Amino acid sequence: MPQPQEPPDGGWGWVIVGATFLQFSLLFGVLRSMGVFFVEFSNHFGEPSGRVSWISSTSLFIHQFLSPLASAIANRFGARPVVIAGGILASTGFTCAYFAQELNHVFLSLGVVTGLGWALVFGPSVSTLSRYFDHRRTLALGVAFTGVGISSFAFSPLFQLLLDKYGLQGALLILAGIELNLCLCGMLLRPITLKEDLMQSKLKDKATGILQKLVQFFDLSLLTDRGFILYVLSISFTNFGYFIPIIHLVPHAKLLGHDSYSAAFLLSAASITDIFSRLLCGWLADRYKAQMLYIYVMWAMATGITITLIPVGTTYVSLLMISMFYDYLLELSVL
Amino acid sequence: MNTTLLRLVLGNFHNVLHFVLMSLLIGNSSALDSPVGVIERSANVILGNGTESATISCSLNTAAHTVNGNVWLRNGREMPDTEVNSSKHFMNYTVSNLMDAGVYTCVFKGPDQVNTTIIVQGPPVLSKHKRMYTSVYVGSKVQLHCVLGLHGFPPVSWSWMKLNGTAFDKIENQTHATVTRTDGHSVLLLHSVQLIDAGEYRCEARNSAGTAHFVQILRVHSMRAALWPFLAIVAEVLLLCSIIIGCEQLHKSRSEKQEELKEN
Repeated sequence: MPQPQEPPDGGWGWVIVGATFLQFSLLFGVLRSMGVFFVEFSNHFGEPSGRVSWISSTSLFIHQFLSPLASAIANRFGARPVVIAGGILASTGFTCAYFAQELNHVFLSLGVVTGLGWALVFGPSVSTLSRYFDHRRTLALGVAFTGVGISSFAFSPLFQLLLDKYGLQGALLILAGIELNLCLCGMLLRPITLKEDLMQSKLKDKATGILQKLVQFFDLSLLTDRGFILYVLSISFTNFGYFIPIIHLVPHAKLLGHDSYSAAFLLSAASITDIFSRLLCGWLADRYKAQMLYIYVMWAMATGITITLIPVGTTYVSLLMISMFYDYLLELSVL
Repeated sequence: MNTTLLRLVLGNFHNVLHFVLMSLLIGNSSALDSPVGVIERSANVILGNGTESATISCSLNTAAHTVNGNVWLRNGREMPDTEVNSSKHFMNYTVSNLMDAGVYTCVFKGPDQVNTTIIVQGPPVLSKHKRMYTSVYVGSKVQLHCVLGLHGFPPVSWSWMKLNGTAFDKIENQTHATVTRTDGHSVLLLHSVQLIDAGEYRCEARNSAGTAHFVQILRVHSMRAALWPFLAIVAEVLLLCSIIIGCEQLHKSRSEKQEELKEN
């Protein structure tokens, strides 16, 4: 019987940080760089590009929507098997897309199956990371999230290279193999028992009836906590607008007349500041834990102001500065 | 004697030929329209390579005709903007860009209508495709398109070529490649693509005023090619997983032994 311990704040925790770094890069990096495949999908299946963009929308939707379910399952069965299962599912989704004959097959495989796999990977890894760290939690999360920035920087040219060498379906198959590395990260998530777990298990035995069991499964008692509700609402509203400026930044720049290479670089520059801001915020939040709420409000307001400045930026330099600043603030507020 | 006779005949033959050719040329431009010499027309124009605009003109030689107006026709259809009601014996028209190529007819209206044609030739221009390359798999059907953005005049003749080494080889209609030509549009159809069909394809639209060409790249992938990297990655994942499991089992057994030692 493993001894309950305090969160180590180091040691194997840093291995977990590395594992989640890899996971997020394989998850969000691939999601963000999916746009590279869209033109090929559109040509291969003969569908208009509007329909093709539903692929990433579907996978993102399934991923986000099924996250609570994934967390609940991880609470029951432990993080490690859930993440491994998620990795296998994500890989299977890509493999099915390799065999797809129509765009609808791709929605089912790349959208639903891979989205489900990603949902199973994301929630449990973040919660495992949080369990391993207490004082340095935000820093650890920040370091792990830098994986997103680095991978979206690196994956776009990599995907284009795969497309050029192996064609669309070949690239999908190779990506299936790459996504299988998520299982590897899952392996590294060694379970840890904390002192607070023992207290919780005493409350568990009181559930009777299906509804009660469901409530306990999803831990819906959280919904009665007012602070939690407010936090969830705030994050939800942020998420409404989260992806939109990033996705539309490049087309907006192209519309203003900048050439496509510089427009694509805008996104890369924004990713770079993304990385720095996550690290900075991680370090800041841990030092000034008491004032975290005020910091959060401040950064969120600054992000909003930056967005309103976007129409003002017409020259390339001003657009660059605004987008970098925006992503910097955005990541600070999210973290 | 024979040689001089021969020379005379040959010399005369050359002259006769020259005369016949010239009369044919002149005759083509104004035959069946009006008696030769009534209208003096400017020369045929060939647009392209720097010459984007030109002015063509017609003028009536004789005062015998009464004129009450003139109008220009392009490719047989009247251009209403050029219609003028005057008794001028001179009319001109400015061809301002390559799109204005065609057959122009100047018509002097009146009780005796006279007209003559001037040919304005223009080169074709191919419209650029958004994608420079097409990516297909072995065994599938491929269509390579070439579309005229500007038709030019006279009508173009199409040809398709494939890059072989440093030179382009002409593609004829074969069993596995067919070329279809419709107005302003040419399609090269490859029935069942093989790996050797990959490479650069060049379509050419040619007329007497100029040539336009466009190069497309065809990439052919085999479905199996990606299988090997995939299997390599799967093998790597399985290997690393087993290493991790092995390390953890070792760690566990070691810590269990330590606990046993502590208890004892």
